[in-house]
Parts: sequence; structure tokens; C-alpha cells
Amino acid sequence: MMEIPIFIVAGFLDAGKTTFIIDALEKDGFEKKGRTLVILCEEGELELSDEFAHLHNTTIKRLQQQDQFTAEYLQELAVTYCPDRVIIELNCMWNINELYFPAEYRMAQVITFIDFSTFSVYYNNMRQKFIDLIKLSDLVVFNRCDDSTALASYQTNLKLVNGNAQYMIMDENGVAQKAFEEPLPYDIDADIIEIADDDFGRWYIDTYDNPERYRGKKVAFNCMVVQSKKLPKNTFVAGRHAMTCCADDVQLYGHLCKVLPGMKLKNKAWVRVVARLEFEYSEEYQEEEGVLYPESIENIPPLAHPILDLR
Amino acid sequence: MSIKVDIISGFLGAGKTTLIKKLFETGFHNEKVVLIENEFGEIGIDGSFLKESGVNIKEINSGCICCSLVGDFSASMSEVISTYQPERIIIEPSGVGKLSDIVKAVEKLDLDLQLNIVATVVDGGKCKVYMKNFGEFFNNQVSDAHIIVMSKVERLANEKVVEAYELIKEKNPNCNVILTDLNAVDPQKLLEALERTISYQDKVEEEFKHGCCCHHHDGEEHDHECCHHHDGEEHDHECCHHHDGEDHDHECCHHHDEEEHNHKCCHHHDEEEHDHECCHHHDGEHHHHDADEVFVSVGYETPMAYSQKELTKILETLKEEENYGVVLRAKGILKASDQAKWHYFDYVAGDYSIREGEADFVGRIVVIGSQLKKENIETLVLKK
Repeated sequence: MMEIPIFIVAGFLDAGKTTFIIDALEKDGFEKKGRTLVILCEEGELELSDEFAHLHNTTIKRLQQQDQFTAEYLQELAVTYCPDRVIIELNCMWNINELYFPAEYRMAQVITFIDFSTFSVYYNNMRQKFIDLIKLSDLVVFNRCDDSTALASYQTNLKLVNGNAQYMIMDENGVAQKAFEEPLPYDIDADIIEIADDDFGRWYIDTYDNPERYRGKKVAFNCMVVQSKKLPKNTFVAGRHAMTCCADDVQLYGHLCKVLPGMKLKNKAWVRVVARLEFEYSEEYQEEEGVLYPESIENIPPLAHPILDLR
Repeated sequence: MSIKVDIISGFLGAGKTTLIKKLFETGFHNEKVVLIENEFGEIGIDGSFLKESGVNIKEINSGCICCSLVGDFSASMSEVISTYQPERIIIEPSGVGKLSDIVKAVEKLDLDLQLNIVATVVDGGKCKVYMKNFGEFFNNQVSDAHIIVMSKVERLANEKVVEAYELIKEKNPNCNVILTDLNAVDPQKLLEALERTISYQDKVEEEFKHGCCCHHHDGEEHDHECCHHHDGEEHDHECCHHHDGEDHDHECCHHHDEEEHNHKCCHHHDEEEHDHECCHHHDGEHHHHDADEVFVSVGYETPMAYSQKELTKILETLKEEENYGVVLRAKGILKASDQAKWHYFDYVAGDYSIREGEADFVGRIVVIGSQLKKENIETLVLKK
């Protein structure tokens, strides 16, 4: 049996979810490529009409409560409608981590829409909701963003939450803007790139986004030594703990660093590292990973703000 | 004295901060006030503003629904009280929390507190979609409020306001709803409306039972004069208070708006005008008991707008005893569909007058009489 691809369209009320679904049904010519089932879990300002759906070979199902959204129900729908794809408009207050799909379905894409005009207030007060969505998203679209520099301050946090997602920024008229254009806070052309303590997250993200900028270059930064038996021999993680949501949400971010021969390091010690950054294929992650080849590692007193607060 | 606690809840962007700022403009009768915020607002309440108002501010920075408020909250309250010794604490809880949780948290504290205002600000334009989609926390904010401030009504067609109003009343039939443009509202009036403890209906009822004050028997009977100067402590039941700002528009005895003599009851000075007086029994005390036993009153609030013509027709129709019972007194203020000012009407035993007055927060109607046919009255006055 063919797996049915699922597209989840998430985001707060009024963020542009329904508009996107209408566009997709209209412009992507879905009706020629089979039947679409749309499950609406929210009733926003803009309604998808049954007439419109009918014209586009689409069936609409509406759900009011998250507890109606069960694997059994979806299975039943699969049997009843034999859809070629399912688009789910998720209710913004539902917990995306508690959606369960039967085996017949395959997650094709999760798209989160965010209305930039209300973003800062919503994000500051409901950070967990956003983070839950962004974590699982393949694509995050910021709508109604006429000032993408205002968004730049969130970029490190968003990328740390989900570095694999694609971020798209649309202005008031739905025209795509260049994402995240904030200049780097350090001199990329220096002989040794000096990373200030507060810029650690920004640098870390950029090494993933633009590895070519850093390949073979020397960097200097303060970090914590994190040792683990799970790491390759003679390496530790030169990293920082960062908080993207709240105190319950602190995670370690850092690159693998080779040890200096003859130097004893203590786990959780604070050090200043000057090292050459290379990118090497990792069997475990099946992609290139940053690896630091240190020139010097120096013990330093603990930082005044040990945890990067990226909220 | 216990410390007053005001809770101003509401979803993000509803206008909580705007409302709180407005309230600060009143100066709160010079009380010492502390504001506790559990939200990162859109409009920061800035330092200079606070300094001017002499307000202290305390933020509880959880700001995220994954962190629970309660532990923090109790400690913050105690700290606030010992540090500032306030007479009033205003709490702006997180817009995505349940109001009942905050109320419970306040009630549980072993401190000398008195819940004063428990209000929720609801954006009139968003009420419907929020109710449908947000589920529990939003509906809880609506159902557990003592008073709901529907904001942004100035942007909405009246049908939309009525629709939102009805949705609110469905979830919380007993709450007062005030409809307002928060940017234009008179702060003092707003505070009085939020703190209102006596309903319009009770007021009109009291006025009726005590025998409306107002009439003067041509000089020879000074003792029954309407507009008592006496007993400051009883001003709630008097109909002729000068000082009760809350209801000053529909009181019967204003001394100060001379341009509207015709339906006003209590002028001392124009003795030639008996005929329009509202209060025909001079001896309120005696009627009091009778009134309690025989008369009933019904009260309504409505966001609907009425034209002068409609209102006249309603008041005319109200005379039909066989359909409505014996209506002795009716009084109300209603939003006008044909003018900016509101309609203020008085109905006394078949006679009525309508005048125009200041806009208020919500339309109110009280009907008093005997053997009232409540269903019919409701159908009539609420244009059902």
C-alpha cells in the first residue's frame, strides 16, 4: 500500500494558514494529481468553503477537539476517502507533540506560519508553543514582516531551536525577503576570529549555515569542557549551555574539540580555546561536523553568565 | 485594612495594559499601588509614567506557559507587600493563563487581601474566533470574570458587538459587560464601572422603594424635599445623590444640568413644573415594605442600539397591562442608533420621557411593577 503524505500547516490564528492551503489547492494543481483531504482543526477568520473544496477534488473534515484527532480516526479517513495527500490545518493551541498517525501515513512536510506583527508579544509570552512548532517544522514562514532586521535578533534562537528548518520571510504583500541578514558581530577576516561570550550562539549557528566561511580558519572563544564516554577518543565538546525557552530547556551547543597532548582537562571546567576549525564527515550524524584542532587551551575562571540566555 | 487586589486578565493584545494605564490616570484615590505583571506586554509600562503615578512595579518573569506561576507568585506577593506596604495590588496575569488559577492563588495566600476587581479584557473583534479555537484558558478567562471589558468596539459594526456580547453572556450570564473604546474612555468612569458593586437594577429598585425623592409640594412641605443633604453614609439608596459619580447620568436629581428641566424630578427652584415630576409618592418610608412584598423588578443589559422611534414605541407598548403586567416604573439608558449621544428614558405609570445623555458602557433597562410578564417584557425591550 502507498503511504499517504501528510502536510501539517501550523501556526497561530490569523498567521496565514488557510490562505496558504487555498493557494496550494488552487495553484499547485493538486486536483489533477488526485484527491486531497483537508482536516481543519481551527475555525479562523477565513473559511475554506465546501464549494471551493469540491472544485479542487478536495474533501474537508472539521475537528474541534484534539482528542478527536486519533490514529483510529485518521485510519478511518484513509479507508473512506483514499486521499492522495492529507493537509492538516492544526489548531494553534493543540500540542503538536501529541499527534499520532497510523502507519499508512508519511509525514511529508510541517510548515509553520507566523504573523510577524504579533510575533514578539506572542513569542515572549508563549515561547513554548512556538518552540514546539518550530522544532518540528521543515519550513517556517514569517508573514507580514516589513522589517526583517527586527527579526534578525531572533535568528540565533530560532536556528538553535531548529537549525534544519528553512526560514522564509514575507513582507506585507507576500513578497519573499532575504532571511536573516544581520551582519556578523565579529571580524570573519581576522587571523584569529575572536568570538565574544555573548556571540557564541550566533557563531555556532553560522558554522552550520556557512561552513565555508570557517573551514581551516582559527577561532578563539571561551567555553566549557564537556567530556563523555560517548565521544570519540581524545575529544571533548567545547560548548556552551543555552536557554531557548526557560530554565527547563537548557541544552548544550558546541563543537567537538581534540585534546592537546599532555594536557589534563577537567569535565565542566571553563577554558579559552584557540583552535583551527575543520569539517569532517561523521558516521554518526552522516554529515559533516565541525571539529576543532586546538592551538592552545587555557583554564579560565567561570563566566559571570555561564548560560547563554537566548530568549 | 485589607489590601485590595485587582486582577486584570485577558488574552495577548486585548488591551490589558492600555486599561491598566487608564486606571493609573485616576490616581486610585491616592492609594499606594503596586502592579504585578506576569506578561511581556506589547506596550511596556514605562518608568517615567510610573514615577509620575508613584506606582511600584514588579514583574514575575515566567512569561511562558511551561513554567508554572504559582510558586513564584506567592513569594512575589509577600515580597511586594513587605517591601511597599501597598493599599492596592493590581495583577496583570499572563494572557494565556486561566483566570481561575490566579483567583485561587490569591485566595490561598495567608495575607490580608480583599479581591476587588476581577476583570477580563476581551477584544470584541476576536472574541468569536478565540472562543472557538483557544478552548479552555480563554473560556475560563470569560467565565470566571466578574466583569468583562469588551475592547476595540469602536472598530466594529454594532451587530458584531452584539454577537460578541451574546457569546460572552452565554459563557458567563452573571457578569457585567462594559463595551468601550479604551483609548477614549474617561478613566474615572472606567474605574467606577469596574468597581461597581451595586447594580443598576438594585439602584433603580432602591430608588423606587424609598419612594423617589423628588418632589416638592409647592413650598409648604420642606421636609420631603428630594435632594437630601443628609446622611452621607446612605448614599447608595438615595436617588438624589450628588456625589455618586458612577451613575450621575441617570440620577433623577441633578442640580447642575439646567438645560434639561423637563423630565427631571427634583428642582427646588422651578415650582411651576409639577407635571413632569417623576416621583409621586412623597412618603417613601411607608411604601418601602409594600414595595418589597408586591412589586418585582426585572433588569436587562444590552449592547443593542435603539432609535428614538423604536424606544418610543417600546415605552408606548409597555403600557399594555394585559401583555406586560402593571408597569409602575421603568428606567434605562440605551445606545442610540440615530445619534452619538445615548437615550436616557424614564417611565412612570404610563408617562415617559426620553432625553439624551452621555454615552455609557452598556445599555441598561430596569422595569418595576406588579404581575410583570417577564418573558413578554424581555421580548419587547430587547427587540426579540
